[in-house]
Amino acid sequence: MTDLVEVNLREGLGKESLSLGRLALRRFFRHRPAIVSLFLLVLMILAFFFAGRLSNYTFDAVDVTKRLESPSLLHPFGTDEIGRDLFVRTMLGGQYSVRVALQVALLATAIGTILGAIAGYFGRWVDTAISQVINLILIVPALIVLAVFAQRFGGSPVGLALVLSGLLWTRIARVVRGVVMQYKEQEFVLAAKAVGAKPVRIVMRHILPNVVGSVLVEITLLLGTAIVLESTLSFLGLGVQPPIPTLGNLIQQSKGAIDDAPLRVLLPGFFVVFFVLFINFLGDGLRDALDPRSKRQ
Amino acid sequence: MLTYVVRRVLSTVPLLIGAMYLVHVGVSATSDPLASLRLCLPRCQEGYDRIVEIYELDQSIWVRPFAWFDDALRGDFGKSEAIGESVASVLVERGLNTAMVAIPAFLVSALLAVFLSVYSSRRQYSKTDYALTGFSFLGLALPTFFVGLVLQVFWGVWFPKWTGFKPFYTGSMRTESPLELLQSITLPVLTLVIVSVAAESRFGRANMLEIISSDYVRTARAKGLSERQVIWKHALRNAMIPLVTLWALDFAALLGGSVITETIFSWPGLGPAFVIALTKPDLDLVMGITILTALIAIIFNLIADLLYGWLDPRIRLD
Amino acid sequence: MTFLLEVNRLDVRFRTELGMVQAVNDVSFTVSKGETLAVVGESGCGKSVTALALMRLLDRTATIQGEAMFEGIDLFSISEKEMQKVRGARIGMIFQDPMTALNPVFTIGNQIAEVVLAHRDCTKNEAKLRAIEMMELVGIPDSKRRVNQYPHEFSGGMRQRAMIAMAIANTPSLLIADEPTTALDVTVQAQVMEVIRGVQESIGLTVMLITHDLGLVAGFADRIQVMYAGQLVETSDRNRIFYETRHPYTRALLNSIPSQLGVPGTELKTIGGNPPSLISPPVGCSFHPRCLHVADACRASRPDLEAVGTNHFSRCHRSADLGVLR
Repeated sequence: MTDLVEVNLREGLGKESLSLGRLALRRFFRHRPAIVSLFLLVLMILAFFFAGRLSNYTFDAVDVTKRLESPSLLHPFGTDEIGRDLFVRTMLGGQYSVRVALQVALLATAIGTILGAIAGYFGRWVDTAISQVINLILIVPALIVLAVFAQRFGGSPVGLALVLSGLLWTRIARVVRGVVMQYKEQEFVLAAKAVGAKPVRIVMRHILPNVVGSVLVEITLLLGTAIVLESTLSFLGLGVQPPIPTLGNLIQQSKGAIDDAPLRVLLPGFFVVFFVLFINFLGDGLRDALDPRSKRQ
Repeated sequence: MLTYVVRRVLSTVPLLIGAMYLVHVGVSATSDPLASLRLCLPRCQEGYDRIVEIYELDQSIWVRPFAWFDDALRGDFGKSEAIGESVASVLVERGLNTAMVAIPAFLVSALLAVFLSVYSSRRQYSKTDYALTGFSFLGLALPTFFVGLVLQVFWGVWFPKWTGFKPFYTGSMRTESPLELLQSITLPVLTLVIVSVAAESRFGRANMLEIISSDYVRTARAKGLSERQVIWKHALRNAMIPLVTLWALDFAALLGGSVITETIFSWPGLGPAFVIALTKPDLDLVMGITILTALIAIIFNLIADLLYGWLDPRIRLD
Repeated sequence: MTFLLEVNRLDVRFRTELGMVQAVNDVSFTVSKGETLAVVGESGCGKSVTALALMRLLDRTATIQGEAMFEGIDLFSISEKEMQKVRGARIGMIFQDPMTALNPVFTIGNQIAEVVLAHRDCTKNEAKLRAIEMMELVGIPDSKRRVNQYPHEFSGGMRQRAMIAMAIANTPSLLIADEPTTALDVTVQAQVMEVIRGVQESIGLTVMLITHDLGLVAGFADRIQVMYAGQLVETSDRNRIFYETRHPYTRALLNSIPSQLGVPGTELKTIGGNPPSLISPPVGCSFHPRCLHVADACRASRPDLEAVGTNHFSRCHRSADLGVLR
């Protein structure tokens, strides 16, 4: 019903037809939570990378006379149990966490898109092979892989990013595979083949543009998952090791003081929560923008 | 259907074997049981040789897994060095502990997810709906360990400080009386529920909303059925189909032992056992827990697919 | 004479992102017992919305005004619970796409029996027997076996028959058929319409047929009303609509039907322009931008529905001087 009416509306109002991309962009900007989240997210990331410079303290400046101080002008977040400034530590931790998450998202997306497209497009044994690899990865408990690699890579952020990418690309691969399989049967692809286009060109030019939307949404989910995984693992001691701070291991290090200053111990965790919250809103906005049929009041 | 099951099992077995093989090699590669003993050579030669014999360290790393397979097929999963009992008994004991938390968590979150989905679809755009959706959205953003910590802090530090009561145990498993058991189970279960419900209800809600505006729901209303019948019989039945598969997967994950939750609350389940096994490392225990969780995952994956086929008459598995 | 259904000044508006849409604008009509009334028009003209409004199946974004007297009660003023007693028991409705209109996870028998159980006090078995009986009535072969089958195991035509069976299982007095044949193959369309006619004769049913297919209407309707942009523009009995057309829109519709008798090679006739916006409709007659006979009066004010003959009404400023259109 309302679809027919909408058709009428658009035609009657004399709007020129917008390209899918521009239409999506317009819809996106109408999604208020997504815009606000994007803004706040950018603000937060900027803070992680630059706000630390405002303080005179470094992240590892120990001063046992100033243990567990409450927030003050000099120490906006207070100090931890051995006197280090929590503000700078948290900002730096945020930096590393975000860095890992971004690296994971990029790498996992790259691997997942390529492998998913190959699996979806060529089908048959290529697809079976790749799908079995995916199943294998899903069966082996992630914890083992991570523990094993934690020893090997000595707990560096880059190492963790590599390992997490190796585990997380599967989800994007599945999504891309699904979309590619759906589109490769469409007639415009058959037309391209009939004209003699090579597979690479067909995939890149004709099919992938349709994949972009779903992939964008998945990337936001990936970012959220990556940062949660990183903080969880670092919290358990299997991720990034001190002295490099991440939002996860900051909590782990100060866990002992949880009875005295619980909020300050949990503070890095709140940043993780907000990061994921904003990312999720963003993903929601993207999803709504790309789906032409969602009804919003 | 039987052929389907058999085919699935047959195709997964090689995968399972491959995975176990890799795990064995992986853990062996990163552990060195002789590390401390090398320093005391040649004094402790006997102890050294004994370790070499037990762990077959004279054999290539790529050959050692076969011994494990050989024993495993005969039902011998070895002995856990870290805990000091047979792996089998560790699995059983710890597995039951995990189940004690996993099963209630699953049931509660599944029921809540259904009710929240139905409520959202009936009262869309109401204030309560926005609030509930907001909460579940928030829940998705919360890492499990954070939820656990917050609950621990709240019920372990603040609430007692304000009221003098400590209604729930925050760091142990008490089995002396049913009440104590309930008190110690509550927080871990609550943690898991919060995390599960967020995802499940979001999924269920999206499904229900789509189904509510479908043609067959309109037909059901046109037949004069009561709103309750329309929602609970027609809409929900369709919405449940994918939700049920999500449940199967979630349940498998829960049974596998939520490492984070059990660690935070010091619950003696499979999770912490796994961490201990990895850090030592205790190869036999790692293998034992891995194969248990892998089997659970495979079985429940299969159940999920079977359920889908059973609930949706359009799908015929063969 | 009392009519089975008497609709007075029906007005339906929708709240949308882009503004208030006037989907049905001051529509009044009657349906007599036993007749087949066809409501005809293009997509978006408001014919389906009218039907859904009568059944009160529109969602919360719709505002309905007016009166709909059915067997003595105003459908718009009764409670939802009372309306549920009307739906499926006194008024039956079938929809356009039987594949999506039937619940895929329940058997056909279950869905037909369900409407019986909802309105009658009988056992599950009795309801099932009634379902089988209805399936036979609408011509579904092998009904005893098929009653336990699922929608996806039926062909399109059979699904629509099942929908009809569901709609008439409680012998309603009125059947509303919303584009019942649009989603079906041409050969099946005629069959389904025959089923409707057969059922109509055997249980004395009144039918409100909503469609954009004039050819269909020619074979089955007693009276026809033409809708455009949410308004009734012409209404009369079938013969007069086809042979004594008075409204330019109706004429244009009829002209646009490809004819088997036409000369091969001649261009198909269309109606120029586009359907009007329902948010900001044109001033004056809603059809005037596309009308071949447009005059100044048409651009200035909206015409009323006037009598142009016995039981023949048209909404056109120029109906008097234009006469019968060919």
